[in-house]
Amino acid sequence: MPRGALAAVAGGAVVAAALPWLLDDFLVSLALSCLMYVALATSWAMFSGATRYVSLGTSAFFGLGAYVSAWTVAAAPWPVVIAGGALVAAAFAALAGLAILHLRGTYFAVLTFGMSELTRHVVTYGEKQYAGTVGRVLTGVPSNRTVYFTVLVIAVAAVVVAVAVRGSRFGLALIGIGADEQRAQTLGVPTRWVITAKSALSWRWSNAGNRARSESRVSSRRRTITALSPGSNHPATGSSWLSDESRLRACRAAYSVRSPSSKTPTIESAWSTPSKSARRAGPSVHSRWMASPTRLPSTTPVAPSTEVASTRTHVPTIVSRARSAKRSIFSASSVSPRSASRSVPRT
Amino acid sequence: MRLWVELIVSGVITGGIYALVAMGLNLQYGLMRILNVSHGEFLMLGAYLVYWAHLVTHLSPFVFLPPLLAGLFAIGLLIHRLCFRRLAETTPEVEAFEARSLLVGFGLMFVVQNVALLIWGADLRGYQYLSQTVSVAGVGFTANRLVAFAGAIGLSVSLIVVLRATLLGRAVRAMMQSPTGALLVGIDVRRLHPAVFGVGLALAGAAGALLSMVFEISPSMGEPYTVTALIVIALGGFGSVTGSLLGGLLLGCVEAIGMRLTSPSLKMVLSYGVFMLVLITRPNGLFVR
Repeated sequence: MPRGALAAVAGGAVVAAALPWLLDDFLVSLALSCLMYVALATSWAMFSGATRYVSLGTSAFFGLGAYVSAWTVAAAPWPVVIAGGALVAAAFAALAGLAILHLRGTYFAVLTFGMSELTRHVVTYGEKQYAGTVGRVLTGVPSNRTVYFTVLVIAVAAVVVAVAVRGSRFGLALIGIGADEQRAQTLGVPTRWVITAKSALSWRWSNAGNRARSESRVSSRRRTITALSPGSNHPATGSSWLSDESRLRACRAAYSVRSPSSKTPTIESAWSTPSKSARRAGPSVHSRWMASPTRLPSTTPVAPSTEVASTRTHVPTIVSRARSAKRSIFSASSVSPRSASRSVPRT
Repeated sequence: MRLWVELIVSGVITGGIYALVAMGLNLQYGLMRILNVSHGEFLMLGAYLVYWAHLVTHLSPFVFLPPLLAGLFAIGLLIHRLCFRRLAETTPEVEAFEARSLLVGFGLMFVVQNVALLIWGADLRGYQYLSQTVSVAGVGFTANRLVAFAGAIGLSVSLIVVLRATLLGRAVRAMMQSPTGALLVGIDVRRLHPAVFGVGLALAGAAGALLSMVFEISPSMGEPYTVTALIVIALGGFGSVTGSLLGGLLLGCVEAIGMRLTSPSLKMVLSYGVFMLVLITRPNGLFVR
């Protein structure tokens, strides 16, 4: 973890921790909201920012954590309540991730958006049916100060985890996925899997003094990477033929074996055997690599995307369709509007 | 037997509205790659405008449909000018543009919804229009549902006819098929994109106006329709307008029958189940060959 970031976080935390003694109640509750958004935004960015999977479903995890805390707050000690909310939301996120993370792009965003609506309706239905409520007002909650420090701890933890993840092998893999999933896959970053997650929050209201106090627990929503298929879990870092995008470089570096003599990972030291997915991407590339392992052209043509795409099960998304459409732009059929109208299959 | 006929007919009636909402959204997505998550909010806006006009003038809501279409079209032009044109200019890659416009739409959703809250408050509102029962072949319906259905189907079909038969529709379809190709043959993107965005909003507003005749309205009524529209689009295929029409009718029937068999509160769960199933098994839509 970079020292500068660490210092900044620590400084911010100290300032924030002093606020309850310095400011009046209103400003402290404002600071509380800010901290909550820090935690929320950080946890969102940790996953969606790096991988470019736009998730609109964060509110579902947030609400779930809130309800779990609301259900348990009277029965359990405070830390257990928070941890319980976090765990339940994490378990839900893991399940949801398993179900929908094979989708990409718009489909993913749409599904997460629908998922948050669905969660809301299910919880509302359950509450109406079994608890007879349409919203809860909590009594017997800890003092404002306890809530404030809980949120502060969560926010700091979220930022620290986010920074740590960003610099880790795992975080770089996420960035690689965001840059180009198919390439990352070919590089040996196992892209199918996933999430385990902890995204948890809890949110509760107290009507004391007519003021909504809230605390949230957001911790990392994290994807854990597991192997795509036997053989592909080997970091195929040597595949520098793919591209020279800096993001992919980062990804490559993350997946290379660190050489014992220096801290800098080198492509050469990384290589032992090509991964299955790299082999699938094209024998010519592979053999070229094998022939001259030390001098690789960094801008060798990328393997045809269709070949790579065939290694995935659910790629045929709008995007790949758009790509193929783009390729056919110059075919005569789509250029004249008259013939275009005939060849447009669907309106 | 009669029960099933009733269920299917009422499903088709709801489905007609779903189709209308989904077609506008699908048109925007198919042409510009803008997945406008705030679509349902403009439906809500249309519903409120008609409600308000009806309250003031006591005329039939259908009188307000043409000015409403024009008004929302203008709002669409404005929003496209303010938000999406710049975004399109600064974001060349389709994938990034999709993600960003999705987020813009997400923000727009909150803005529009809260403006409506500010103006009209959070109460449920509604008005009486043609609420007597009509009996068709032994099956009874309130007249306003039939009228709303007729309006929805009329608008949907005329949209399809415009897309199929006119030069404008041909330009839109050509651009859906190949944006660059359309540019090469001289189709003017800078005029067509805002226009189609406006048409999408106008259709959403019209759907809202029709809904306001049948149901009560509130500022938060839009979101469920956005989700429903997304489900319908997934059923019919992204970018396919006819698919949206069929998908909407189908989803209406599935919901009507499913609600009869389980519970009306589980409506959203049902349609979402359909959505998941379709995305997992046939991600390109049901009607794609």
